[in-house]
Amino acid sequence: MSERVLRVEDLSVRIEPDRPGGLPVRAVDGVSFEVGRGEVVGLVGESGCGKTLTSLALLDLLPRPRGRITSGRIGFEGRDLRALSEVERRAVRGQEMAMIFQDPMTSLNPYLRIGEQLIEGTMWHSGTARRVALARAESLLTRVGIPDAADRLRAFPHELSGGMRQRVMIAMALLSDPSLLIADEPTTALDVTTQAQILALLSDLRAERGMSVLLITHDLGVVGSACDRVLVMYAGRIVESGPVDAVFGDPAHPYTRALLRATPRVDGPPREALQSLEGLPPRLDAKVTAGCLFAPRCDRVRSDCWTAEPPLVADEQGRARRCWVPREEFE
Amino acid sequence: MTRIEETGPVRRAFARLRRNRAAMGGAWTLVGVVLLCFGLPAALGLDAQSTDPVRHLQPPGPGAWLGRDSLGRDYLARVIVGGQTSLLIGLLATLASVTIGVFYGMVAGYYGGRVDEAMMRLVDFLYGLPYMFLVILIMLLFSETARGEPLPVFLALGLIQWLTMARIVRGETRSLREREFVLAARSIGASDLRILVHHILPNLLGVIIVYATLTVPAVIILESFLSFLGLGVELSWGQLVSEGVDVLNPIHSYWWLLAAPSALLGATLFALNFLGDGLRDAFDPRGDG
Repeated sequence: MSERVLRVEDLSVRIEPDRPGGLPVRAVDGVSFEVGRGEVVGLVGESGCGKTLTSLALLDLLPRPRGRITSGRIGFEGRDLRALSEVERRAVRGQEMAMIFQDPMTSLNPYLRIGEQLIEGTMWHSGTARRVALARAESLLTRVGIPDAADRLRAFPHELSGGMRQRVMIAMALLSDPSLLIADEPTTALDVTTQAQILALLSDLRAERGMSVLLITHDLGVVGSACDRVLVMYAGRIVESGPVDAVFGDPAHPYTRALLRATPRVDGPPREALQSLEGLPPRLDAKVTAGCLFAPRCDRVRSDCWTAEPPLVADEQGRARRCWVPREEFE
Repeated sequence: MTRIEETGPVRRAFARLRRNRAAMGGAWTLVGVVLLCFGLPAALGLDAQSTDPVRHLQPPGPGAWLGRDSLGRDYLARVIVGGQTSLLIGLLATLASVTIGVFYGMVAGYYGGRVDEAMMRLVDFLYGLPYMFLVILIMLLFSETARGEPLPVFLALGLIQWLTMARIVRGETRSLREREFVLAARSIGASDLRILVHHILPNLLGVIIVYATLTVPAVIILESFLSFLGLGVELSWGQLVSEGVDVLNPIHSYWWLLAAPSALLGATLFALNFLGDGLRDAFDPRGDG
């Protein structure tokens, strides 16, 4: 897993205020991570911690005109995406990097037939003939588990169930054979059975195509079953990262620990009460105060936590964490 | 799977429309009025211009089914030819307002931010001006000879009517552009133009059609009003109504001069309003399957 598909360095995203006199929000602040070829990386955190904005920034799809990348480098397949022209970036988006979204109910245009939406990308990017593109779309629909694919191409979105639509979205993302698939909470809007099917499908596709996946979710169970590595985000920063088994087995940041304690487990001790994490993530619009941003909610908080923000420190096992509390004290 | 499920949203909307009696009545009335105004003059060889001083103000009867006006002109012919102008102005001004309004509103709504700010301030400004003042100003821009022709009138009305269309389309576009299918289209590399034309426009269709059918009667009324004031065209329903009112007096009513154009104008406006209402309901996605 030495070859890297994506290398993000020091990425920061700023959202401008929507009214005069408001303060800009530093929604993503100095995020760095890598995704290896064929690797599935999970990006977890509470709502509003910057997961989705991070992924939108990768594709240059930040909400316009308020969202803006203020610094950082996005290395993808050996190129710096931020240095590309708009036209070149559109080509990358269409062909090498694809994204699927949270709500399959709204991510398909209700006025276009499934076939039209599926092939629109390939038709104008690579100038594929309509007939060829439709044939390919049909075989991909079959591959993602949609029966009667030929009929479905002529269907409108409202005629499909949520799970079916998410499969269509996956097929649409796969049509150009991307090397990186960004999946933004692809299973959140689906029921548990469908969720499991979609995750299994993603992991099969990853295996057969050598595709990398950046899986954004707030469901730790999904991360545990589907990902190789995990990045835990809090308040626009990565607070802990590492291989999933290591991080979940032995979390080294109080936030990760709190998240895990709040997650129900099938194989956990019975009747053990889940512990919720009190409070809300900090507002990121004010002048950020000195100290660790998690300190107000942290159960291990100590005096140095209020004075300076801890750096993200990596160890030799490929793990990294952002905390002043020494590692040993977590045992 | 039922038949309806296999069809697209547009066809389903028309299926719903067909079940709406008032709207269908409106549609057929409209077809009738259009056939009457555009088919009849050629078929019967009607003459709306030649005068006949001897038979002036003749009441309806054989030879002149709607009587004659103060110059002895055949009133049936005048009402029908006037209808041509009124309908054409209604249609053309609506077309102009739809074209400008949709384009303007989509650009402002899609790009948002400063572009939107600047574009909508212009709309607010034009809204703020009394529209009569604007219309008169535009009419004055045309030479003396062009006055009384339909072109300046429809231009003036179209230029006023697009403002509301632009606002409606801009609002809809703003909400549509936040929908995930737009993000999904961008994520596969669609250009702004393609997203606007291919993804946003079809979703606006319902609103546009509905508002357009409501604009036609508004324009016809405005034109009638202008004609009534003497600013409109030479021969239209509004202008005929105005003449009818002029000759109205307590001794001789000459009722047909007022009744004929008013009845046709009224029927057309009702028909358009019913059709517009029906279309709005038909395109509402919450309607039944």
